[in-house]
Amino acid sequence: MAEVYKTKRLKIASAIFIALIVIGFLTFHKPLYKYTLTPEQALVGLSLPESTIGSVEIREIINSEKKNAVLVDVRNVQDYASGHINGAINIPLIDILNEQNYSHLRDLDQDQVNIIIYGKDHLQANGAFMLLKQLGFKNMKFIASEFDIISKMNNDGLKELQLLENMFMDDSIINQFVNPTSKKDSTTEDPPEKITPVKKAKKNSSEGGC
Amino acid sequence: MIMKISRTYLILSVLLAGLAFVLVLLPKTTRNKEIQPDKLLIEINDPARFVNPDFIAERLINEDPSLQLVDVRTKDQFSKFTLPGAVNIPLNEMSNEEWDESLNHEDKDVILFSNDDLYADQAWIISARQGYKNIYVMKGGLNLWFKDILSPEKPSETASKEEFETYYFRKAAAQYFRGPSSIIKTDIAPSNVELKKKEKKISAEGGC
Repeated sequence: MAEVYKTKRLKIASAIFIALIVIGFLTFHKPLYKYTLTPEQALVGLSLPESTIGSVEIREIINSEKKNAVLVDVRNVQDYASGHINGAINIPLIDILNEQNYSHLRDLDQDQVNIIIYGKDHLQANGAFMLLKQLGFKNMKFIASEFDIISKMNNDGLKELQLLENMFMDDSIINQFVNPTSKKDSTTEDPPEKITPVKKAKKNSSEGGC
Repeated sequence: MIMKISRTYLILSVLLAGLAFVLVLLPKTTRNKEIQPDKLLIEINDPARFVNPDFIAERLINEDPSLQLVDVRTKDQFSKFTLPGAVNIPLNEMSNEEWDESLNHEDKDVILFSNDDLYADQAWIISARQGYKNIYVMKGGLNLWFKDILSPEKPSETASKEEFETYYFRKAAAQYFRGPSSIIKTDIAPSNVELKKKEKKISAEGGC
């Protein structure tokens, strides 16, 4: 009799065991998106000329008629509504993985259309770029600058943009401080505050004149 | 009866052995759990990772032991100049496991910096994906560090009290951090001082 109970218990135990495994498989969270690049691969090709787009090229894209490139504005909807670059589409950064937006971008990428991302600053654009890069986007670059500067492109913003492009690798600011020979050093150093008492100029009484 | 029991045991043990084998076949996971793209997006969108140079300066001056600075610029740039106590992890080696020791701190804040903040932020995104916690980015990077901390601009007279407070803090910090470089400066300082002899103005004395 005891043996029968034992087998019954065993059967119940194994049934529960199998049920648990099946439930585990069923409820396993399947991620919607998968990285196609490992972290090592994602770190390749981040140097600026490779991953960003220069001011001259941006201008060409804005002005050209043939659409081999799409500008993607990743700022929020309000910012986009209050002004954006002509022809840019709006996909706010936080919504970039929404099914509709993502599949749209994915189609563009597969059709060899260059995706050019810009945001309110270089970091916002970079965030979108880095995420999509790790998800396997290939035809994609970002503008490493602020929207306020990009939007002035046709006037005086071009020069500012070029300056910004150089900023990320450029050691010149550091060299000002570290390298004593640089000339700017003297200007950055605080000069001892000179107290210049205002001397009352003695009026030279016009002497002479005999 | 005995046969029956041993058969169920056999089935169970085979099942367990099979599962153990599956476990062996599962991909090797790193110490940190990689976060999924949708989670990473939320992290990227959160500006909480940015810290101001002032905050770092203050903690450096106080010799805060819970601060770990990481310079993500190249080895060459690192050897020329870096911040006190910083270790060098070049951006392209960021994902290397050998740096785990420098990045994986439960009780330390790891702060990444580069010339500006772009490369540091790229490094941050990769480390966030790899599941590291307590990692921050120095806003504005070394460029802002030099601008704000080492050569602070005096606020206008109408500026708020806080602005003056940060200014005085930065002035003090500048003196602290200039330490070794100020020696260089004193070397060149004399050449800057031009001894100007005041020419005596010869008052036009009236010639007779």
